[in-house]
Amino acid sequence: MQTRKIIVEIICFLFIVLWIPAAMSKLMNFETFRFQLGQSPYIQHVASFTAIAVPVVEIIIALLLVVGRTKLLGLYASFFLMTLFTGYIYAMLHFSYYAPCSCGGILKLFGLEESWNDHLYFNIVFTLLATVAILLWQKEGSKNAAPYYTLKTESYQ
Amino acid sequence: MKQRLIIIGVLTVLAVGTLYALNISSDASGSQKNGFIRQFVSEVSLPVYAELAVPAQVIGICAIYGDTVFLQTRTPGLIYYTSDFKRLDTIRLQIPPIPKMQSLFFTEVQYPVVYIIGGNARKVIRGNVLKGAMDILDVNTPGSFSHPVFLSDHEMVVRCIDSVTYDALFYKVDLISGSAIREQGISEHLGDAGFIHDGMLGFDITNKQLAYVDYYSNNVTMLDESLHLLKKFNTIDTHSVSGMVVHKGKGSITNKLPPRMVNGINAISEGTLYVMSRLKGDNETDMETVIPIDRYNTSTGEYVGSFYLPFGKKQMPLDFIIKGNALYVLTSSKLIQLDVNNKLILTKPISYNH
Repeated sequence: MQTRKIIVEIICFLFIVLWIPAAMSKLMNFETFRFQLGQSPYIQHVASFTAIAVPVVEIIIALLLVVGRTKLLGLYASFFLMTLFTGYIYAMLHFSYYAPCSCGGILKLFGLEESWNDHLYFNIVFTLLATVAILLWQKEGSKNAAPYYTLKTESYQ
Repeated sequence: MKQRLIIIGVLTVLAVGTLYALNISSDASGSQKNGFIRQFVSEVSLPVYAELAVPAQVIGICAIYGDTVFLQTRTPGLIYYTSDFKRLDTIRLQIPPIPKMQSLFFTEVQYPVVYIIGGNARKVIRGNVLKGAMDILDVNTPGSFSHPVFLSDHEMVVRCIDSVTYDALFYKVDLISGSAIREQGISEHLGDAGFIHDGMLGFDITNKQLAYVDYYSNNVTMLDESLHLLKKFNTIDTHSVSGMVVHKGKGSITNKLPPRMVNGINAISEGTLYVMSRLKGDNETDMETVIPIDRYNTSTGEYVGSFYLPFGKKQMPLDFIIKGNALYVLTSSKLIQLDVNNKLILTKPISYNH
């Protein structure tokens, strides 16, 4: 049980490390990010909204992952966003008439090249990690959950 | 566990639905109707004469002399060639280091003379592979250039981006004197670094005509060797306004919106212009497994029918040349020779309206 909890915690930590810098990078280079979204055939018509929504949602998800009670919700949200990003990249690679060069520099943080293909593999891995964490997650205090702390019981005479 | 799997499934469906909605609302896959009918002159796929695997660093066809095809690579001075479609041989020119040469260069072969043309360096290295002689020629254009097309062994036409005004204009360059003569009244002065009317320049050696086909609109401009306008006409689609919108920032010019490509690479031979279209005709369903080539009579501008290359997006051509009855197509992995003999003859021109 302890192993499951550790795995979930590690995955949550990885997502926090992913979402916070990704959001910060977008917000600090907001105009560039919005401009690059405007070059995307899929998003050009909703570029302004998406440019604000994506970093805000990323920060919210990171906060959900920090707090114990909302971790599962954060994992579901991470899974959804990662699935969305993965599908978007796949569509850009296979169906789009034009693919701008943009990925916000987040891959460099994980020591990868910044290409659409690398981004696709990276996102697939993180989508799977979110799935694993959701399936392994145990509610605090449930019968199968590992105790976070041990109560010392004393008997009073 | 079951509940979580259901939620994961629902979230996956939601994500796919969101992407589908984005696709429908944006038409990012380019599946909308384009307002033209493509007419075919060949019912069957063109037969493949021969094909040869090529390394990934081959990026263009330089020239064809007799049975020999010369191929440009990503390395200046390195040229592959094949005479039998069974093996590739190599020409390697030991070129001197020239600043900016690697960043933008083109290779022209007029065997045994090879030209390495530096668009940013504004130099031409001329080497004779038989004599081993080499010299460096200056190109006095007012900025970087691309699309060099040779009219003879010492004259070429280029599309130059003026380094002060950022206008993209045609120049005729004399490599002996180094002079560059600017076109008059052909191109608009847009200060866009050539983005809006980017395209491909070709030269029909038979009729001594230059053809410039826009990538992002249906404009075709025919010029003579002195850069005088001969004719302007349109390709069969209805995209008369450039699908390239530019953003002029501080010291940079880039595309503001995703550029909608109308026409791709092209070739010109014996009065016929062959254009690889990037748009689906309203009478077509499949653009995944075939690539349409539209043909135009360069004297009249008339559309004279299309044919398919028998391979799709996964083997998108990097370059192609028509030589006699053969069509040579270079993809990222193969050089393919197709037979166009007697397969593409139309008895009457096809009418189309704009």
